[in-house]
Amino acid sequence: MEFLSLQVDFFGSTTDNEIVSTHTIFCKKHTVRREDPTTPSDRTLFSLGWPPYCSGNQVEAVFSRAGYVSGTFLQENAGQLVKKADAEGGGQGGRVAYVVFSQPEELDRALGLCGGGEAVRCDIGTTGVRKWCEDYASRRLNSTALDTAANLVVGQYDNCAAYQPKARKRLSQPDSDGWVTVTSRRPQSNGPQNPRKKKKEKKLTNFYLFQQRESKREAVAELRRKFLKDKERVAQLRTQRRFRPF
Amino acid sequence: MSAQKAIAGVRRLGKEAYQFQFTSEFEYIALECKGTWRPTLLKAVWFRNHRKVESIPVKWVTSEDRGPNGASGKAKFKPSFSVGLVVTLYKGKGRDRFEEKEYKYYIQDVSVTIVTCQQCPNSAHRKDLSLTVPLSLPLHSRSSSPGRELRHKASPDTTTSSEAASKSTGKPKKDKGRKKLFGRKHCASIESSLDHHPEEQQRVPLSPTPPSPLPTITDSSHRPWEEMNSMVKKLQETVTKLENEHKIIHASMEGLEEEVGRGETAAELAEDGVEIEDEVENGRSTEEEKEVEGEAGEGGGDVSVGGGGGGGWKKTHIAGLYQPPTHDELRTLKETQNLYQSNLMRLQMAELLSEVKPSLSRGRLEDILSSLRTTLMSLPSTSTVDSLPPKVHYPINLDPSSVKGKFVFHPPLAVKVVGSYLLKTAIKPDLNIDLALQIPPECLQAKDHLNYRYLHKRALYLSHVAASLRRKKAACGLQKISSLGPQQFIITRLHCTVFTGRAESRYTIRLHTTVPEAPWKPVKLVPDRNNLRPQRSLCQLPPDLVSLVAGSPDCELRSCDESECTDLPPTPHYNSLVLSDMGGMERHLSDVYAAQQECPAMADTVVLLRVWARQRGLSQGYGGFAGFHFSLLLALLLTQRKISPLMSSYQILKVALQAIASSDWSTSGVSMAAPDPSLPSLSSFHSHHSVVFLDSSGLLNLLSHLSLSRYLWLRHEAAVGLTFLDDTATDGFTALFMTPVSFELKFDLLLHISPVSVLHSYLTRDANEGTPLLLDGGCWPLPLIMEKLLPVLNKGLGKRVKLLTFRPFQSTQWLVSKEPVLPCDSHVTVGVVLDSDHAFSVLDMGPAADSKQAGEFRVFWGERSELRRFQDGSINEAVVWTGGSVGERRGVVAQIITHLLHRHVGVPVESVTSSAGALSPLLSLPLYSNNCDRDTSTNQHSLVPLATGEEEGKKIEDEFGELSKQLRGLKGLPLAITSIQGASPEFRHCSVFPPLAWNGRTPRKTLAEPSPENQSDCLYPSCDSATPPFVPALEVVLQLEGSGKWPSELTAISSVKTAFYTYLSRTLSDQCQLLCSPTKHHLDVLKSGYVFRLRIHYPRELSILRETISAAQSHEVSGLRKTLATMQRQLVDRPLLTSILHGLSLQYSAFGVGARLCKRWIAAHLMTNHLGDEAIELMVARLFLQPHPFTQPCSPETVLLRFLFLLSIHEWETEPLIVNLNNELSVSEMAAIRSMFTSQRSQLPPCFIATPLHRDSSPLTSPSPSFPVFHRLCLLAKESLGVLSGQLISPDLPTADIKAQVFRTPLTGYNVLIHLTKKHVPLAALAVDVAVETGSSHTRNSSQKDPTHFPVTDFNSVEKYLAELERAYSEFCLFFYDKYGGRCIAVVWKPQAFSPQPFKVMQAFCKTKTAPGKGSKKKKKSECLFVPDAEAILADFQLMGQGLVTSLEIISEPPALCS
Repeated sequence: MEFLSLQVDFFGSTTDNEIVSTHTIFCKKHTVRREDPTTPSDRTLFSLGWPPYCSGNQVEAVFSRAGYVSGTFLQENAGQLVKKADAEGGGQGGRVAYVVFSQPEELDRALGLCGGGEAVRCDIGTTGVRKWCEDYASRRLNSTALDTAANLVVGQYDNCAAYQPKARKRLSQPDSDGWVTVTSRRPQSNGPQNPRKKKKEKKLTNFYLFQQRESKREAVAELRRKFLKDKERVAQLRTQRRFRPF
Repeated sequence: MSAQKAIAGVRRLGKEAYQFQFTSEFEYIALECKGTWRPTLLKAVWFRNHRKVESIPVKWVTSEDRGPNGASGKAKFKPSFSVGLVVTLYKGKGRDRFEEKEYKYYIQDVSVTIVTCQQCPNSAHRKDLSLTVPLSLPLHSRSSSPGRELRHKASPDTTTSSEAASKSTGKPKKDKGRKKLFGRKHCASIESSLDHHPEEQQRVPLSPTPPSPLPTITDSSHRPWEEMNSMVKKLQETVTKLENEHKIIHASMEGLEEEVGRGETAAELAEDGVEIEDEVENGRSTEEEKEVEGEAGEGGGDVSVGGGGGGGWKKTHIAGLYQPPTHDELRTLKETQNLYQSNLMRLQMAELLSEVKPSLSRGRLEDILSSLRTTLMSLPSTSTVDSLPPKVHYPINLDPSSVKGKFVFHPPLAVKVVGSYLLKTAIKPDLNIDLALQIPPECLQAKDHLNYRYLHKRALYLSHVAASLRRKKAACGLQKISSLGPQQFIITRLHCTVFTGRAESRYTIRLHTTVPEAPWKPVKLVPDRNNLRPQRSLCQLPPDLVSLVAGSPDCELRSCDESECTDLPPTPHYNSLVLSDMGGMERHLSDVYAAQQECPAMADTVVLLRVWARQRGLSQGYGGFAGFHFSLLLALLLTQRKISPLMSSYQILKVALQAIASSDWSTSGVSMAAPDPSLPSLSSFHSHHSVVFLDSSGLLNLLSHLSLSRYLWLRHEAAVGLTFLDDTATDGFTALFMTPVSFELKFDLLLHISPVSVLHSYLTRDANEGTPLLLDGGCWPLPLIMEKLLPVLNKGLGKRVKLLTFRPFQSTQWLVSKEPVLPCDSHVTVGVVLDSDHAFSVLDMGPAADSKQAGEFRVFWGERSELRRFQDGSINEAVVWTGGSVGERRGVVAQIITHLLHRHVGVPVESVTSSAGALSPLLSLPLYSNNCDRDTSTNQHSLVPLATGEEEGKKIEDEFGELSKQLRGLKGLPLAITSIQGASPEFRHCSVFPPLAWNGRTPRKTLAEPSPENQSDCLYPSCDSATPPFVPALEVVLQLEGSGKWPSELTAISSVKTAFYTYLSRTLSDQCQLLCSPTKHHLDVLKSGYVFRLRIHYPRELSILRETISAAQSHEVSGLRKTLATMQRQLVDRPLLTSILHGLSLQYSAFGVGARLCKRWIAAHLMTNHLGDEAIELMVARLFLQPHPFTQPCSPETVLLRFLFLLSIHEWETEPLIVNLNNELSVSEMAAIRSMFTSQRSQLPPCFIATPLHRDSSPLTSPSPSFPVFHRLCLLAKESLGVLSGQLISPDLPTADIKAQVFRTPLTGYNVLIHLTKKHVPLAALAVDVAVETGSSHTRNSSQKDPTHFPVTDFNSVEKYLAELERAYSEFCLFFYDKYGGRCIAVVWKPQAFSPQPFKVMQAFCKTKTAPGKGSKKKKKSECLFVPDAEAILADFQLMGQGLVTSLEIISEPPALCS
């Protein structure tokens, strides 16, 4: 199926003279072999080419004229849906958007919108200095808020960790049919593991005559090898005319 | 059974081998001890290589105890301790004795009790009392009957004596053996011989007593000459021997050769021969290959005889490497190891020699020379000549009118080729043929050596020759007679140029004059004689010079014309000038020739030395160290037997450099002449010449025109050269011969004295000194004045400088028809290599006020000397220089030199300019530009550099130290902090502008009101007004003590860290009253106005992350990798690098400031976002760790110059840049890096920096800079280097705009400029070109009040903008920015991104259909092509930077749209 193109005029609202950036968004019906329940193929629009300052809200705003948008997934690359990464400085923005409509006919309406050839206007929200200031403020939470958030995660982890041995214990019990599930389990380790130093193998290297002979031959061969290598290198240098001192 | 029955060994090897079986038995050990020490358990151990047999410990039973006087007793082995040995013994052919082979027994004291003795009361003697009894088995082998008793006696040393008897069952026989006593502290090893060599006893080391005759064997009692503890040991041993039955093959290298060299491997040899011949056909035929080929040919000849027999070695694809070595090949290989440093050095030298030596085809040249010779010899004689020939200008600047005598011209008696042409030591760019024209005696008169008369006649003579040659130019085959030029004002010679084919082999024929049989005696020209009578000579000099001294009343012209006048000042330089024309050239030629006949490798060495000297500018200009000096030096070394005729050119080079480096010709000169009482002594030369090297006549000083400063420079260079010739880790060859060492790169400090006439005032100061200098120096006394200055400067500077020298004066040449050109250097340049340990001290301590030297000190320093009272109560004379800040102290040496020149020569202060601090304005904060007026009161205003921010850096370090102390002292932390490491450039003194402390006040209007739900005590930036003052965050990495309670999941770890940050924040504000601001990923702490950003490094987190990556799905990997790389850089690499580089900055004072300057330069060229701080610092570190061919730089200017030099000269494509931090990499590891680099070049970044931390990757320089960016950077470096060195070497340095082309980048090459508004560029005040008023935003406020709120930290809108742009648009364009106050971001479109492409899902961003143009018609209709939508991208730039971007300036259209 061909991509349909949709012209979107993104405009900044805060400046005195309005700046408009016209982008071409390429859309088509979402089709994949293995379907993800969150993006059902009959209701999902696959769109490409969103500018970096676009968030899910903008995408939703563009397509809401076609119908009720029940979900937007904005990400860097097409393919599998990426769970929100919790990286510093990461966050909004992406070039690929999956727009999930509530009804299949809304999707068709949206595709019709694309074919129309008429530009859609979209307010881009906050960008630039205002956005960075807001970012700064949002990162400076007070310590109680931070604490609560951290404790929540740690608490969840602790619960999980506490649950794990129980679960494992339960697995080791024979079930109703008398079967025991056997899993391989790596020993948990904390702290960096220092690789155990291998004991040096005690071996005499110059005990037998053949060893002595070999080592001597090897020494000569090594010298020759080095000589050939050096010669190659000098030849290479010569081709670069590296021997002209002045 | 006897040994004689052994089967004869391998006779062919020249040795016979026998195998024996021995059994040795110990029966008892008798010991005698002195003092209180007693052993309890003793053990015998038999040792040989890796084999070891131990007896069971036996008890030592005291037989007699004398209390503190010692004891004696025995230890018996029951049953006896027996060891069976199988031993192979060798015997030379026809000899009756076996070769020596030693076996050893050790007796150990294994007493567990801790005992004390007098020497070391605290040590246990468990191992200290080991005693060795060696057995010499060959002796036993001769006895036919088994069982003998052998008595061993070890002679006593300072602490022990021992006697051992070995018993065999047969006849007693004395054994010759060596015994050793091991003792850790007090037992020295001893050597003794039992029976026949009592005198060896005297070699006992450490023996405090006089030696005495060895007691008899039976005497085992206490010896009277022993003063210390003694121990006697008796060993009984039974040796039985059995005959052996094995034949031993002796496998030595000779054996290999002998056994295999005959035909067995002839087949292999032949095959290899073919291989090698192939190689030779490929166009290489070095000597070595020819040799190998020769060998192989011989081997091949034997194929039919021995073909395929034996099958000695396996044939593999590398059979060539494993073929048996031939004798010659072994010799070559060994020779390379011994005679040259390495193969590579040998081959490289051979290449270099072939490159610089002129080609051998000389046919045409010989023709020209012979026709020139006939022309010269057949020139017509003239009668008295008064006038000069037409069209030739009189070539010297002396006034000829007052010259006495008359001149006639006769053709030369002989025309001889002298110099390097015959000796084959000429090098290519300046090929000269020196012809010596022998002036016939008829042209000269008896006293022509006086009063410049010879110089006049020589000038006339050569003028005549020049005039005649001009007429007959074509006939002689000369192309051009270009100049009649001097090297110095009065050395005159004629240059004729000959083209022989190619331009590179252009020869210059130089005609010299020589008078071997002069009508005056050479003795009259020894240095202490006067040959220039002032009355006669002064009037010939140019009047403007004479007026300098003639005005002084002391210059009375005495009437001692023509007669010998001993009280006149000597004229050593003039004398040697005349003397050198008296057969010197011919003599030197024959000396060198004789030496070269004896030692053929010498010629090559001379060529190498000439290349070496030329690269350093040591041979150019006036008074250079020319090729013939090197030849004569080598000839001298040969006669001194320091060079052996068998040495290779490499070895001779080393010896020569060593000789120069260790020489001291300024105080103890050398002479090539045999000692002769009739010759003047060396000391008489020393009193008139600064450097003395006499030739074989003993009268002529070869180095009379070499200035002392040049000699010291030469010596310094030789010493430096030796260090990297010895160092196998550096590429000695490139450093010695291939890298040019220019003056401005070499020296840390350059001073210019301009104009030169100010130095002439030296002549007027004292006529007694001035007149002879003027006479001796002729029209150009400047070199002699400089020579007088040098000792004064060196005395004043003392240990501050390693080398002080003057830039060589350029010699001049001119056309024969033109007026002579005097050396017209407008200025004198002084170069100084500083000693960073002493150079920057502001105090010169003088003698005590009441001492006799005090007066002298005061006279030397003048008004700067003052009395000072020091802390220890002493009152001394001292000189204190201006140097409040570190930056000012860098100018102390320049201050001293200026002062000394002013005081001792009268050079006005403003005529001296220096490079010290020339670039400091680029590092000084705007704040300080207001303070520079502070020093205007002192007259050294021009030398005082502005403060350069080192003090601020120090302050940060202090605060960090205090914070670390506070952190470590915190109580109640769940996990203790084990390490605190800085990770920002500030912590290694490399921050371009170390931040100032925040003064606690931020303009209210720049702040935003916090939102109600976020009630923390932080300040927030407001978007409506200007950005608040920039407060950077200084990165600090903490490590906590290990704990098993950390979670093992990434999000949980991160949360635990956050929890720790908040906890730490509370603790810090409670216990240390510090303002803190925790965030999710770090904790910011405000301390004395600085914000430190603490991060926790938990090593396990990284390994969990790695495990996650290996298990993760493909679409998640890239994100995780990025996180890993960031964490690795932030938490591991940076702290490590910081600590290493911090050490470096402490070791080398110029490192930090130099690195700052280099970073500033990179930033000025908008490369900040392409080349990271750490990468630049590593490159700078390389300048200090491997400074070759220079020495470690000591001033920021030098660092920048060498950094630019490194960027522009390093072969980035073929060579990795290895920075051997802490000397961690060994030579072999570096070789491994190199070979890895060569094999994987295409995958590695264009700028590859290997360090011990990153050996086979260069994470600091990848992915950026990309190739085009880096290429541009190297080009910029090259250009900047040229401009900057030109500016530094010119005397109008202070007026020059140093920023002009070096720190202002051209903006023409870019496509788009994004202009930024100033109010949101937080560092705008740091820009290279900044208006003065902008400095106000950065004022340091004296009234620091305690801040109640946390400042806006690390908020830089521009960096955020840049990061967003790069993240989104890096596939279409490159962005360039200067983070130190840049007001615009430059953009370059990527051409390859703009080529029309068909639609692709992965590249559907910002694309538009191509306009249906001509190009698209040819394509299929259905296929639409897409190009980036530049218009949309540009609009996006503005949208994304709302509030920051003022305008876009489009310089040129995107590439595709242009076409």
